[in-house]
Amino acid sequence: MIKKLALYIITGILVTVSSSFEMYQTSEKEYLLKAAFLYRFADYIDWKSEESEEVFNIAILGESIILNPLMQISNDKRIRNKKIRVKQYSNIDDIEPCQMIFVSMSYKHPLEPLITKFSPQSTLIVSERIEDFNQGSHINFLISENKLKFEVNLKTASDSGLKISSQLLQHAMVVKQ
Amino acid sequence: MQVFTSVLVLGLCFTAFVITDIRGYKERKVNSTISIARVIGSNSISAIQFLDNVTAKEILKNLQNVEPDVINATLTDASRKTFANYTKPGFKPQRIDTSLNALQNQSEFSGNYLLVSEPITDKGEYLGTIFLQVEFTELEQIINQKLQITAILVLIGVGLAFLIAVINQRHISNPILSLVNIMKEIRESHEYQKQVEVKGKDEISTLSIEFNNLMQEVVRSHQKKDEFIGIASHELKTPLTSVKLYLESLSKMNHQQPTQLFIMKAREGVNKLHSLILDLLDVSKIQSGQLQLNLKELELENLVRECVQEAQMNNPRRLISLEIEAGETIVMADKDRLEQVIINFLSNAVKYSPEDKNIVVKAFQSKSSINVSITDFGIGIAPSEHAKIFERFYRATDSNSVISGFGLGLYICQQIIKRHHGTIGVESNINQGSTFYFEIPILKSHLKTMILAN
Repeated sequence: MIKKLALYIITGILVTVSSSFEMYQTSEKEYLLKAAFLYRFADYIDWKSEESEEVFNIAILGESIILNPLMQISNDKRIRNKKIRVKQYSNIDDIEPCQMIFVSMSYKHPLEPLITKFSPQSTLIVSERIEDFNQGSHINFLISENKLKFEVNLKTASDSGLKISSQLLQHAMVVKQ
Repeated sequence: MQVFTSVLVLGLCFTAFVITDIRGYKERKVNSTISIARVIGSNSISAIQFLDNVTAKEILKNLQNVEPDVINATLTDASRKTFANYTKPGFKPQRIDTSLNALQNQSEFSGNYLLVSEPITDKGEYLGTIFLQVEFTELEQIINQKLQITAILVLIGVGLAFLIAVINQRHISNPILSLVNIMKEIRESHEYQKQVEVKGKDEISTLSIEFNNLMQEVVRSHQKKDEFIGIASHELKTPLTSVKLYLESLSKMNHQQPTQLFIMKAREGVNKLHSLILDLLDVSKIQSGQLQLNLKELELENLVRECVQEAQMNNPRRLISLEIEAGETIVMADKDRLEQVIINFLSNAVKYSPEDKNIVVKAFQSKSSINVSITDFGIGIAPSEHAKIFERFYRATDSNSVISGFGLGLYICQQIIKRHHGTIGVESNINQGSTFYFEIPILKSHLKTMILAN
């Protein structure tokens, strides 16, 4: 019951934050939303090799304040009835097999090794810089009209064996074919 | 009455029908609106999740095609703030009262609108609520349509009821009324042998048959009674006649008082009894159709004169005046029977008027008949009784009980005059005396000779 209440409050806060530009400015709140979006993405994406895993792993590449809200979500919720594990990495080589990688803004290195490493493994790569999106991330966050939006690259996604639901696509700002 | 009942019943039925129909319509509307709200809610999940109110608005806008009755739609988020809304083109945007319990699906009617709220949840997580305000565009149309149908059906129903009433009238009321009329006729005319016509095999005909049986029973019992009266009076007459003869012989002998007085009283009693028995015998003869008239040419004035003289002799203290305005009128009549009538009239006049009052006897001739009337100035008879006094065994209700008689005299008179093709009647009022009269036709051949003579 308390969990549920907390959930309402969190979601309430998230949504309230999103609707107001003034509040939007604080990046802390922006990352709250990004964390929530990441969690939601899982509902609309099919992973090819997901069934074998017992835990839903989310990796964060580079330092990011998204860690805290994501950790909060991983404590409260499950994705497809699986526990969520969040880990932060600073090196591509250290990243263990996972379902989702969030490439932080602070990670300024080329993404190519990451793509090469994880593309065959069917891992969703979400970035927050247009450079990273251009380098081959599947989904990229952006701010448009003071609102948090995202764009999707369908080609790279299908290359990685990821199926993104049309329901998610209708909310994407740009869909690269 | 039948028509009124059917209108009432039909009216109630159709009111119930219309109310149920409207309620059904509203229920269907509520259910369909809830379904639409659910569909929109589930379609809006991702839009709320990804804060995409542009898409949410698009989804709401689709209502225009899906359910044109939706006037306002509002989508609120988990914090109950408006996330997206829609207003039907041409309508005033109206803020839906989102204070409705957003966590429950609810529907309420306000005026001509239906407000439905449906919470949106995903995996048990509350995401927001969809509110729909729906207009009852069809309601008025449906009500009008139902009222029209109702009016038509009520009219048809009333028509049918009227038709049934008419048929009913023909098959039930009419036979009953005719039965009632025949019963009345029989009661008034005493023609108990008259039968009611029996048609068909329904309850009415059963009633008619039973009525006929009853009447036959009445006729039979009348016959038995008449037979008994006939036999009894005949059997009584024979010994009485000999008693009468012996008494007469006895009275002619010389006796001392009080023997002579006793014999006289006995004779009076026997004479009275004798005349009563003769009356009974007459009635019995009339009833069995055996009253034979010994018709002969008769000069009626003479008969009247003789009767008056006899009455004057028997009642020496009375003044009985005789006025005759006819000359040698001959009628075909039974002298004894006509005498019986005149004596009956005279004795009634004596009986029912005080001794100091005169009695007036008149005989006058009209064009083709002769009228004989006897007027007294006694107690009189109420007009309501006039017809009844000629019935058998009838005695006027207020008539003096001291005056004896069976009430047969006038009945016999009536029957005698009837058989003379004449009329009999009375003109009287209470305490104003009475005039009894009869009128019989003058013999036609004689009429001719009279005209020739004149």
